[in-house]
Amino acid sequence: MTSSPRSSFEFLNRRALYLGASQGTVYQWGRNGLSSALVFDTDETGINAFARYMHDCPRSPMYLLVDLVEEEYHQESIPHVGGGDREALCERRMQRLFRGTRYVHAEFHGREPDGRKDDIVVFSAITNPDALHPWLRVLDATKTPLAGIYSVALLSEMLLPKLQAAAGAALLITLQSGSGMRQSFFQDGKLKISRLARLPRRGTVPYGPFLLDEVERIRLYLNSLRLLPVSQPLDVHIVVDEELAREMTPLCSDNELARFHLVTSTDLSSRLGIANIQPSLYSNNLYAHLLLAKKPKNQFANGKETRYFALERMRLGMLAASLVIVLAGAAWGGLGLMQALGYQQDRINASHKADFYQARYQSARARLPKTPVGAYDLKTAVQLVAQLHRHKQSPLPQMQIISQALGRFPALKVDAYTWVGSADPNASLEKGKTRQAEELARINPEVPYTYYQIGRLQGYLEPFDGNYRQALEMVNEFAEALRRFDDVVDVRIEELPLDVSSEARLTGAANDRPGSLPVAKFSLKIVLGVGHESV
Amino acid sequence: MNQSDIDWRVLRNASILLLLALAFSGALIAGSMYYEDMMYARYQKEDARFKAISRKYLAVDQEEKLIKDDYPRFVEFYRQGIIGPEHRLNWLETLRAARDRLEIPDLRYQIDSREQFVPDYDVVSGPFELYATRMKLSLDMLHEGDLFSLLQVLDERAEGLYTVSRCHLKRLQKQVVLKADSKNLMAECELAWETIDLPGEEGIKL
Repeated sequence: MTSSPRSSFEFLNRRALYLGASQGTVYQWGRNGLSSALVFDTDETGINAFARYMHDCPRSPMYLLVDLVEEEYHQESIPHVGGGDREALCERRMQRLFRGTRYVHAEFHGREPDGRKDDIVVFSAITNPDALHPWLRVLDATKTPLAGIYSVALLSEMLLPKLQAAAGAALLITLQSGSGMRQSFFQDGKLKISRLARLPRRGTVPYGPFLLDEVERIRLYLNSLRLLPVSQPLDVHIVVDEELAREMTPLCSDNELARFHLVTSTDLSSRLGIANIQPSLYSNNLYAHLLLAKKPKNQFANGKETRYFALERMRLGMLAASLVIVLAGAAWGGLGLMQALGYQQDRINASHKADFYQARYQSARARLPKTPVGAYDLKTAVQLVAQLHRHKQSPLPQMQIISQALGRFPALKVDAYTWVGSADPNASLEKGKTRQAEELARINPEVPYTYYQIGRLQGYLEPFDGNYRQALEMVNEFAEALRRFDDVVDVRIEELPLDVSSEARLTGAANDRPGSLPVAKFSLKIVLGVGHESV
Repeated sequence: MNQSDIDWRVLRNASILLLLALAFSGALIAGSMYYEDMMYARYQKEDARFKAISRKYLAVDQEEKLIKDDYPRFVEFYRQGIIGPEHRLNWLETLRAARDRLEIPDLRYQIDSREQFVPDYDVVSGPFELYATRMKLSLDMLHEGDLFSLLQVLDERAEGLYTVSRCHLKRLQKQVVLKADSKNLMAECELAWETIDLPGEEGIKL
């Protein structure tokens, strides 16, 4: 027995406990496959020794491989249902088939070809749970992660492809030390039934005839169970060592009921890719290697028995997550730190540049002459003065136009002239008053001007001989003459010498004489545009 | 596996380690984020300072040009009484001199106090206020040419900028008498003397 310091990180290593009728063998899985094996008897002494070993050794996962006589296999058909119904159905069937054991397993082998097309299920069980309990108690007490409980028969399915026995009816015979001769029958690669027969001690009887007798016996058994039709030939695959193979070769002659295939354990090992396997009559190492290499799903163990395996995986997951979290945090933190250092360097550069320009700016400002307002405000003030100049007004332009027009009408005399400058062509001439909009038609110049000069010219005709028609014509012509000037926006006659509109009242004498005639007054409003908006 | 089947002692150390890892990683991330944010804020502050000062520095050239172009005119307008305080005494002296020179029979004036005014056209006044002082002129003239001569003298001699707001001319007698002191026409005009100044009592001073 060996011992080594306990370690919590042994999950990559694993072990198999091969449990036979008389002994339990612990196989260690190493870098190159199986590395060592320890054998324990199945009596109390052996169990205690096993307990000491498990207590002293690292807590790596354990795969329990069972090879006992007390194994049963039943093929049954159950109605095809799904999900929880299927599980419940199987549970009930197994309880009925295998009383007194909880180590049961169901394998589905497809559906019946005819009729209801029920599911074909092979139920298997380890019917002697007491054979396992002492070992399981030790594993639980030492908190050994139990990956699962497996049977050699079910595991044998993995050998069939390498034996080219995955189709048709096949019988596999292997010899195990501490167990006996395992005979497993397969149909199209699926286990249908298996039995373990006691094997006489080597040398006491010739193994060749013994094995062949067992083959015949089981073939008849299969016929009786109707698992193998009477006339159907059976492919018999026997795994032995070189010596027994040589001994059995002349005995194994094919006939219409059996075809023999002798395979040495060395040959089978090499087909499985197993290196460094010692030639042996027994297949214990081969099965142990297969189990630890393939790590199949658990077959017989329940949740409580495999809890330490689940917990160990959870523990390793948490350790891995911790590592990932720390690495991620470190990476994120590292990136953040690098970014921060980058910003710091940028800050220093910006600060230096700011200081540089600050000094330059102060030097440049010191050179500037002192002004009462800022430079841009100086410009604003100068532009504002220019704008005031542009809007400077005088009545002279309009008076010049009026004077030119009056030159053609010497009879028109000016009595009064009122003038206003405004940005609104409709501004009132009366200070403080605004005309009602409905009294005047608003002026809307086609071409907008910057400013307008609005004037009212009041005058009279002299001499006036009472010819109102001539007077009216003269005033109208005068207004028309004014309109012809450029930039005159509007000329309106506010008062004619005689108001001949239908709304006015007229009084006078038809025989009026010169000297007694009323004065022929007139009044005009003139709007002159000054400067265009684009100026 | 039921809850009661779980042996927490198996997971204890791993759980503690996981929590420590979370705490450590969280602290690392939070710390780095905080530090990064802090450095970024400091960088932004310095960068803003740099941008502001570089803009001001580049603007100095422009300011120098503006001062070179506009300050002489600003000073001239100040001397003319368009920017800053108005030159009222000069106005009075100019009116008197004009009356004597033009031999205007009668010239009266009334000058109101300076008030803020808003023109009836759009202006950009910046920090400045626009002011206007109303001056009413009443004159009896030989002919309308006297009025324009008076305005021309004001244009040439008076310090400041004015605009005529309104005018009213009226014939005083039907027959024009061409004697030097004849009063054939009367005119009443309103002038607005416009100035630009800074708001408040101090105003612009050079």
